[in-house]
Amino acid sequence: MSMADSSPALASRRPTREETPEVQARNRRIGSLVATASLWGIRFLIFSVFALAWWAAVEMKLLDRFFFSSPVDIARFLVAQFVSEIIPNALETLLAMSIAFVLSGIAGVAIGLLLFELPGLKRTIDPFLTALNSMPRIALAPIFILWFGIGIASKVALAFSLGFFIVLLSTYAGIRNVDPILIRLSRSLGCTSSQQFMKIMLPWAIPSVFAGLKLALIYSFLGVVTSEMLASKAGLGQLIMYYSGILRMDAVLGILFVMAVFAVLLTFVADQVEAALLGGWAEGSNQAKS
Amino acid sequence: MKRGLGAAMPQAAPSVAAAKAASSQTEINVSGLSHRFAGGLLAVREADFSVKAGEFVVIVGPSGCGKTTILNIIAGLEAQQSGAVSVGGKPPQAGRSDIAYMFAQDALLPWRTVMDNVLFGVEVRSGARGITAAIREQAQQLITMVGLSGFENAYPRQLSHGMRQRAALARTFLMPSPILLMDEPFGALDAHTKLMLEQGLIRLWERDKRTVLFITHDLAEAIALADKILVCTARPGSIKCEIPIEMARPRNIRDLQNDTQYHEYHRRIWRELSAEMAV
Repeated sequence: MSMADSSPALASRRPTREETPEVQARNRRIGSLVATASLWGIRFLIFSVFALAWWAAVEMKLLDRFFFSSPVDIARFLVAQFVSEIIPNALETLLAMSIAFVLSGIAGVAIGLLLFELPGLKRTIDPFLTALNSMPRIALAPIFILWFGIGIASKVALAFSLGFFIVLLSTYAGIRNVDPILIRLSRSLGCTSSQQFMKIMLPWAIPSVFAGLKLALIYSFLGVVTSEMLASKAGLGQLIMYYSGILRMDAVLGILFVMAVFAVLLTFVADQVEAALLGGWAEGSNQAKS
Repeated sequence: MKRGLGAAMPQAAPSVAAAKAASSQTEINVSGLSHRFAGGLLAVREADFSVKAGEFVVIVGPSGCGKTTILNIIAGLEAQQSGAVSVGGKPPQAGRSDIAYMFAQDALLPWRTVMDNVLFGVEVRSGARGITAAIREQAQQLITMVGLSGFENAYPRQLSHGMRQRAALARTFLMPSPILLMDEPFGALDAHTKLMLEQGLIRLWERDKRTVLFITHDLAEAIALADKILVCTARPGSIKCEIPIEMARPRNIRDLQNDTQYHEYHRRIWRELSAEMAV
């Protein structure tokens, strides 16, 4: 005999709450498809209006073409140089960024967990962590260039110095933040310390680790481009410095546009990966709360 | 459609049956228990009571009277400072597999589905290999029983508060522990869900006859469930009086309102309790 039998009214009284997850999910999928399409339409509209206004302002001599270029010139540059210049340099940037991101992720998570397991160590090195983390890392770029040369190593070093601390701190914060009631549950059930870590602490920290990783991705990109702008043989940052040196605004703005699109794509991919890995349980995922 | 009481009920686990055989033995004994919080506040003073095997005992008392502290000490979650406490003949210790503790909060793991949350207690205590097909079957029956069928694969955040607490109830009952400690498990629920879960708890208890120590501040709930009610004094809490509830079982929550005995108990305990409350 089920408890629902004794109160058959419950199911029909609150239909929205009691809809099965399968039905909820289907309705949500259809709804979100429509919403996504119209959202992208509006975004495209905003972009077009902005580009058109810019183009018109330059054509009407309200803006100086020399300083502001024009959407048409930028597009022309991008089409002409996309394969010969943009792609190879973007690949250089992407490679350095990927190495820095992976290293930041592995080292940040590992050391974040280690510091949680060894509170004495955390207490001891806390001031050093704060000092390193609050130092403007961009100021380290000249040192890294001296140490590692103008190849890929110095870019990776700068990007890592940014990403590592972000991942470390978010991992540590996530695992420290475990809901105390879950620790009580763990104690009352008699979890071993490895069960408590694997089944409660680690899963709890995952959304926070992901938030850190997403941020580290963008910061790795930032670190690599900054390093390239200071001194480098290749990369999008180096390309920007070259073109701004010869006063080619169409090229500089064109490369910036490519970077912006790239950053948006990165974030999008990261969100998708997060949603796929976390499934429906975390607040951080893209699923709307019912 | 009403079916026979035992029809859809999962079989009682062996260790529960063993506990039933040892009935009328004292399962939980607390004497001269006092407890002082870290700040120096005396929470519990000289509490004395005992719970027999298979007995359903409810502690009622004004809020802040140290009810939860007593339960935490019995569960081994809080260090015992004085007096004597024995549970199943042994001193309290956290994580004993003969004790299952249900909290006021659902304490579900947000990354596990309802089914996996219900299985969690057994999984921790007997390992992943302990999750046999029979245990899964039992879990499914408990889920159905608390009215969550169709939601086995839902995550806690997709559920209402009451539904989450029902999942926690199923998790508690899936563990074969002969002793259940329940700390206001239905305290934060709406009246309807509460009645439903109380009736479900009565059924589960009548099936297994486990030893239950249940805390509440809801008098109606206490009388409906208990074999014996312990009334707690205001802080520092001690047991003011013990009132045996001699109403026939199996009880039906909905019929209690028509029972003169029920109202008699209500009046009597209310008198005891209101003396402890500053209004």
